[in-house]
Amino acid sequence: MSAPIQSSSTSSDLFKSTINEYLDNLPEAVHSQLYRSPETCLAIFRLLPSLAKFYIMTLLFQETAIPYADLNRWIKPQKATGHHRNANKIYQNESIKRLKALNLLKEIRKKVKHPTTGKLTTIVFVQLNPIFRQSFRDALTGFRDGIPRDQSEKIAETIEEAEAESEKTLETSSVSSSSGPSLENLFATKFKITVGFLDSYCLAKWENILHFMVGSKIKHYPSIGVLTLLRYSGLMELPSDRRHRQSVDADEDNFVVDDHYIDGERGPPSGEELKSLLITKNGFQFLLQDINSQIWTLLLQYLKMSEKLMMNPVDVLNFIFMLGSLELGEGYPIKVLSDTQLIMLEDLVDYGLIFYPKSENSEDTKGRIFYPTRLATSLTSESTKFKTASTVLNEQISNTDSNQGKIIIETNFKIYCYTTSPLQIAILNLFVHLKIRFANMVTGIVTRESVRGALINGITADQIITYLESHAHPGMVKKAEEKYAKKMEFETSIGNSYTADQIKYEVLPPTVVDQIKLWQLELDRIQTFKGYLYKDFANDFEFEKLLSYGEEIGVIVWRDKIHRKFFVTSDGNAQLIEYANRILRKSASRSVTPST
Amino acid sequence: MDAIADRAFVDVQSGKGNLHRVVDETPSLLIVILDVSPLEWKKLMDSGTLDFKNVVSALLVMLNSHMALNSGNKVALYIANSYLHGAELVYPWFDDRDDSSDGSEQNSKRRRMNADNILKASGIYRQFRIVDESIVDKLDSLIKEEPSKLKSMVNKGNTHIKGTLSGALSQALSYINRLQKSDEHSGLKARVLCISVSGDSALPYVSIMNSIFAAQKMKISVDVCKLGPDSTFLQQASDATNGVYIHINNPDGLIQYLSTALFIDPLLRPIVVLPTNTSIDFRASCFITNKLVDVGYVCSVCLCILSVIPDDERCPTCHSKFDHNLITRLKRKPKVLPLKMGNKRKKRVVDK
Amino acid sequence: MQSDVDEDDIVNTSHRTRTKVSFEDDDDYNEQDVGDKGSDISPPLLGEKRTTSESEDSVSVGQDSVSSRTKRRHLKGPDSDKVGIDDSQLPPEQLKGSSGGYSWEDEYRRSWDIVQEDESGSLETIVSGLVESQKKQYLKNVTPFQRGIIRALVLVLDFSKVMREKDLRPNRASMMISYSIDFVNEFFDQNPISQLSIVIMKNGLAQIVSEVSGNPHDHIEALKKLRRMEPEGDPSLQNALEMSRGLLLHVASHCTREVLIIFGALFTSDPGNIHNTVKQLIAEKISVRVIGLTARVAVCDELCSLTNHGDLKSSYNVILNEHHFRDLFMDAVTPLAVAKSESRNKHGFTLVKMGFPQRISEENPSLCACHSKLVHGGYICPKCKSKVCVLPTVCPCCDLMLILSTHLARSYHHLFPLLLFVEVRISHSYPSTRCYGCQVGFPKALDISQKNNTNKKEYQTSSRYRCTSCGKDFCIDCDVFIHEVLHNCPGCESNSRKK
Repeated sequence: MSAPIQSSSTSSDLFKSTINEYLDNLPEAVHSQLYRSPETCLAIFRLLPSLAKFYIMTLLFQETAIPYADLNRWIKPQKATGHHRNANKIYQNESIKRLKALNLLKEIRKKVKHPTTGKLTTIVFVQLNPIFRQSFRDALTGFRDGIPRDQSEKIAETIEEAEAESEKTLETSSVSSSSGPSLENLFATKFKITVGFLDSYCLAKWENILHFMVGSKIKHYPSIGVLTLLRYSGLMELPSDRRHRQSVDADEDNFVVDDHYIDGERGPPSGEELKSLLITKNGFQFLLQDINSQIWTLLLQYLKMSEKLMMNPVDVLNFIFMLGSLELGEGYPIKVLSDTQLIMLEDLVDYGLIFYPKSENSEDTKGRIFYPTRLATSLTSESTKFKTASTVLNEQISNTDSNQGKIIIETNFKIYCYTTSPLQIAILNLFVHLKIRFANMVTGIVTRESVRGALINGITADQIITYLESHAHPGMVKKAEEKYAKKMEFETSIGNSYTADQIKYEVLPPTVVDQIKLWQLELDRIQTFKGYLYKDFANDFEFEKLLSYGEEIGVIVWRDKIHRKFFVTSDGNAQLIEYANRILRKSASRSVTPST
Repeated sequence: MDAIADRAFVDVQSGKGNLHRVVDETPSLLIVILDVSPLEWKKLMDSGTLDFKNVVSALLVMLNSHMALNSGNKVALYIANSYLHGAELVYPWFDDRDDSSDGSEQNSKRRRMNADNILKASGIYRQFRIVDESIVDKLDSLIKEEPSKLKSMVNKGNTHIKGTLSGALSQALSYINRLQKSDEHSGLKARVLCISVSGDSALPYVSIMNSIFAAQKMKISVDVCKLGPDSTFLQQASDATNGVYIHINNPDGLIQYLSTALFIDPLLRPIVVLPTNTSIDFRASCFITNKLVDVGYVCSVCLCILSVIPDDERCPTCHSKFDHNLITRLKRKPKVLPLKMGNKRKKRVVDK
Repeated sequence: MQSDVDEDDIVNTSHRTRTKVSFEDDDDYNEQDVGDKGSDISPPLLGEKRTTSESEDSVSVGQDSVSSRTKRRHLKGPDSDKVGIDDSQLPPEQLKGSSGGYSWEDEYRRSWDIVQEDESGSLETIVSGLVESQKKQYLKNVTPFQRGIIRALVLVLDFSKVMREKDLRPNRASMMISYSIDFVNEFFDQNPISQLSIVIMKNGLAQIVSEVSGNPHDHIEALKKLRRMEPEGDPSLQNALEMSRGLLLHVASHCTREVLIIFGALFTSDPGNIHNTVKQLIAEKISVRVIGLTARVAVCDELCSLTNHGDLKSSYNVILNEHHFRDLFMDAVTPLAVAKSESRNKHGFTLVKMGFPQRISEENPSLCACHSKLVHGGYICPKCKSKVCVLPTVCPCCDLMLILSTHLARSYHHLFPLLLFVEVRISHSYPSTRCYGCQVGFPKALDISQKNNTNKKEYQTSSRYRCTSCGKDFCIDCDVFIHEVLHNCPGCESNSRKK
């Protein structure tokens, strides 16, 4: 009842919707191929809404198809109160839609004889995608012998082998201290890969990229692959790009990097050239996301780029999803990877997702081992609180209760942030006027100038707010929850359900949120919408009818009742015209053509 | 102009799907309490309906499924009613606990072999396997030790054994309490599943009730998967905590039960219809006669339930003396003639 | 006079117990920043935060006095019938400072002076010690007294215009109401077979908010309705007490009769002589407890000491802050111990007739006898077969007390309280490495031979609390949880051998 509602738009949603969109749009054949891998099934399963997961679980061990109506029977009926529709029902429809989009749920129409009347009626039955069902069952129960040995199983097998090997090395290292150092032994002692090492390794890599983006001085530039991807994804641009873009198109929202480098029309820019990359508006937005979404943003760009490079998307996706299911701190031999995946491996090393130590005996390439880092293993995890790079580090160092959120913001616009990470300070510096830096904390003030600076850089007010929300100190979150519960209880107690629905869950002081939004509005004195102006109505009836319909579907931007005019968004226009035609047909005598 | 300016303050996503987003993302903890009472299992296995191995493998699949839901999900397993260990935590397994027994290389290898044999799997998702192996190993060693212990106890004539389901429940609740209090897992949802085979007879009433109330207070659902005889206590437990109580007669479909009816995440509970039966016996049993009572008498001091008024007018449990006047009033039947109460009335006069 | 004392106390007492950030106010964050870091504070920040640190003090004082209060209760046996010394003139115990005088005469101790680094430069041990000492304050008396389990209580709420004061946020009245709702819930949770009634003092009159009943929902609904009313006029203690007397008049003799007054005003406007009312209350064995929101009032002093056999300390308290208010409120949930003298007077204990109804579920809704609402299913009274929708209640038809056996079981922990765990003494090595309840790792044994400063020793603990009957060790969190919520020792319950 009083379940606190999470901040309305976390960046994890952003990521989820993008990856889901990508998956949804894959053709069915690719889906079937994907579902052959249990790891991928698991990862996709985790991306689904809870109810969809529940449906899958109910169908998983069911041998026969069940009537579609049975799915409805699990859902609690909810009284539709006024204009609110049944939220449970909406949720159910969403879940089922997702399942169908992913080709997980198959509908079968069967003619069934009614037991008493003998009439033939068509009943819709549902069944899980058989390939998915098999793979997912295997994932849960352990792989069965009967199925064709595919690649993922090989991995599992080789993991076993690798484990046995590592055990052996352990044994030998413990026993053979007198028998002289063998090569294996040397490897084991020299590259004793600990989780701590991997963490610091991946963080160093990743933060290096971010530092490069913020423009701090760094010793080692990220590799060309990374730079190309950054440029390709529009997060950064060359000074020449910027000039080019500005001359061609003033519309900065439309952000297309021409990919002629990839197509090979022009020679790719040299490494030196790429080092002069400048951050773009999208890049700033990217910085404000949490680390997991950042990685996914890049990986999705990578997927798109790989398609252009004629890499097999199934291989690429499988590899990404497989990474999520690997164990942190364990080594895996590369021989199980396909050629595509070997290419990917190199790229992922650059992002810090994988640690791939250079082996001493170079000819034994097949025996080499790669280590997924925390960035990789947490890819498919989606806990509500994402870890920023610095918190992962802190967790690692102190091993105490991790506080994901570090930022406290007061109603007087003062900001306190417990952090030692120069990166986080640099990010804060984008929109906060920082004042004092202590050993483990910085303080600052959100001012009109600082926020304006950020807004001019292309960061939106919503992004600032989301960033602050997702990094809020647990104390603030707790306080907000209490406040929310209290208000909720009060409103429900006096039976004011409408206002109860309106109560927002506010982590940040509303004054600050509103002010930041106001500062943004200052910049947007003029807002432009593309759309259609409806005017010159013949009579009030038509005007009212169309206007009320438009308002109902939420496409009206502006209205003027005195002059009988209103403005409709471009998306809504078609719908409105269709509606207009319908009433016109109904009242055939009148004729109005909406002018644009 | 105003209409446009206001847009910045319109929360686009308000109302719609807020709750469900939470549903999708919050990790949850599943604690399973497995009743391993050797005698009860013997009975069940002799009757041919149930096999311990099958139950454990179904349970493992269920645990895996739970972990598959969300990578933040956790599982824990307790055993209860063991003669040797009472109630004990099986998983998560903490290192410093077992350094006495195993820890040598051989032992762990044997463990792996063992686990592999039982799981009959050549490979399984790693995170699952770590859990499964450690559980299978622990249960295996337990089963091996139990018979000898039982024998020695029978030899000593010490056959009366206290049920330890309440202990397992208490431990589980403490564990949940700690996780929920910690910053890291704040907001973690939890539920408890009891796989029970024993009846109520051996359970200590007061402590099982106390743990049920604690669970109710913490809003933790207790689901019950009942094999063997029905249990009123556990029915009440699931009823009080908005849990699911399912009595399974045909254990062949156990996995289907475990993955559907007993697999409803706490976050889905507001949305999904719970498959529960509604007829639960709430009647109390008399402390003296052990019969179920509809209308009884309750001692105001110790709250023990009596179906008849004891002759000595003392509470059988706390030995408090009852008020004589009141007893007389309670004993008075509507149509009894005043003559018959003559001697008693005399006493009342004395008291006054 | 008394109120001055309280306030001075708030400002000046050393804040020994404050360690955790409390998010009472935005400004507290700043204070915490300073306190936590200890060594690297910049001077300007310090000066800036002085004011907020004082507000912080009030919190700590509250907790200090809570602990002293609970300790005192710990000492008090069931038969402490002796009339308490009238110590209202002397400096009360909790106002005494370490030097023997009033606490505000002591030197000001800053929170960050207490926190000092140990040899390794870590604050962890000392901080965890401080945290534990704070948590340890739940301790209550566990002697299994005979308690008046079946209670009848009248909750009297001050609803006069002083309750509009905003010293408790959002104002006194709404905070009182929300705490009252919590109280009602908790009260029926712990005392399922008791009865409650709510009365407000408003415009010099006493008004009934909810009649004597055992159904928490009725009271909560009534309290929620109260939220929409404005506090008005003057309070009248006498009227409220007379009304309570009337409400408790018909209560069966096996119940304890109690009145709990939340009193915000410093005066009462009565129609007659309140002392006569007090005499009648004594005669009817009604015990009155008062929680004052402002300061001590002489008439309440008298009222409480006379109706509680002179035990003023547990019956009349003035709140120090919101947290303390809640604590005082919740103290009233635990049933009172029955004094020996009282039970001796009686002829014996009572036996109560109760019905254990059966639950039914129906396809079609039918009217319930208690609220005349259409409901699916309900409970059938075994005597008259009428349907009621909530339990526990008194059957509206035949006046039989209807209850579930589970409700009775809820009160058992008052009767068989769990023994307190004892703190394990600091030593070089401990047998346990993990808490038996939650499996959290204990801190390792410390070398106590090290030279420590005095402050540190005071707060150093082994962090282990042992159940004396099963010998298992628990952490402080589990200790608190086990005694406050669970009422079961996981260690004892997990042992399959019968005790």
